[in-house]
Amino acid sequence: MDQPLEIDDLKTALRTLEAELGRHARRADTFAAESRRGAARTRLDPMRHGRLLQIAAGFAACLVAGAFWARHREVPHLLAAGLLVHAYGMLAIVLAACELRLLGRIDYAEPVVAIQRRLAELRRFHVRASLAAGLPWWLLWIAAALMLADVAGFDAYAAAPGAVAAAAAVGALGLAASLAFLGRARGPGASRAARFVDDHLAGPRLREARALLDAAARFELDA
Amino acid sequence: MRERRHERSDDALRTRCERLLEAHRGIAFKVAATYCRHVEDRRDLVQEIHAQVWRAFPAYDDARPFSTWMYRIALNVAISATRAAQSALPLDRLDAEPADDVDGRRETDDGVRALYRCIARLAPLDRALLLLYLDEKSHREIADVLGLSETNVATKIGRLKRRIRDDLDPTGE
Repeated sequence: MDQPLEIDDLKTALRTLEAELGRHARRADTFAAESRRGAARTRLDPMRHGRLLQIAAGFAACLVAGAFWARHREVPHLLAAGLLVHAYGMLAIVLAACELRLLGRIDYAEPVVAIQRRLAELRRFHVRASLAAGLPWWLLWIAAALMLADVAGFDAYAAAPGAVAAAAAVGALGLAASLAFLGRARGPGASRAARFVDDHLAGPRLREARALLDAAARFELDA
Repeated sequence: MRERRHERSDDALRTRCERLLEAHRGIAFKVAATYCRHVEDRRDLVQEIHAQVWRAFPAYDDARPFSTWMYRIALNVAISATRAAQSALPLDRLDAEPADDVDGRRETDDGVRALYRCIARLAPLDRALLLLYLDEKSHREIADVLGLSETNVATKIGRLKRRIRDDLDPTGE
């Protein structure tokens, strides 16, 4: 009859696995050469590059919108459109800078629990920042369209004030509904339809980030 | 002249890093075996661990043990990589079937299969604790790698051992 396994058998099993993997691994110098090449890029780099791009785009938006509203101080709707795009550019810069700051705090050589908690915080911030950057587009597209129309040589608001006002009203309603929906979809009384849409937006990613944070906190405190 | 001196110090750093990686190559293998079941995933993870070690090496403080420093990097990389791939391969599927081993053979060793069963039931941070315990690291080293107090480590290991004993007991008693 087989002897039941003990914890020490697992220690032996780990050593067996290590030896097997070591026997079949490529030579260390091959690994080293490949790793030196790989060191130039890591998993977090795309996120870092994305945020740097976001800052550049934010600056560009601020420059263009700043020049635009300075030129149209006497025309209220064009002034408002320019200010809105300028504010969005600043928001994009601030969000990207905050995310870069969180990214800068991630040093894999620090203790595991601390780094996993920071990665979860980063993930949570990223999801929230994506929402904060996405939702204003309910209204922002109108401001951008007014600016583009002006560049093309005509005043869209003067040409069709009713259409612009209607678009703004729909945008404001859409924004309010999105915010209310996001609040309710995560509440206890959320409908199935609300949860379905939430699950296809940022809901699962945000919940996952919260779960990771909770797991790190439990692991750290649970003694 | 200054450039040549810089190149020489780069070469010295590279040689030192290669030597230390060679001496501690088992860490990356053990971590990869703990977090990935399939051979390609393991290779990719070992590669990523080595890349991160290379990247971080200029900041490595000689006064600290290299194994502790490398374990931190390896575990942080592995847990992050596992979480990123979680939707593609749920962790709880790892114990479903024995996988192809490194050279294409099936894992038939009872101990290895039992080890994978235990690993598959654990959350990523608990896996790190199990790995360090099975690798016979002291409570102080484990506390240093994970960032916990030694008391907390002792309590968690006691609990983990009870859980493993229950998992290994075929009678379920």
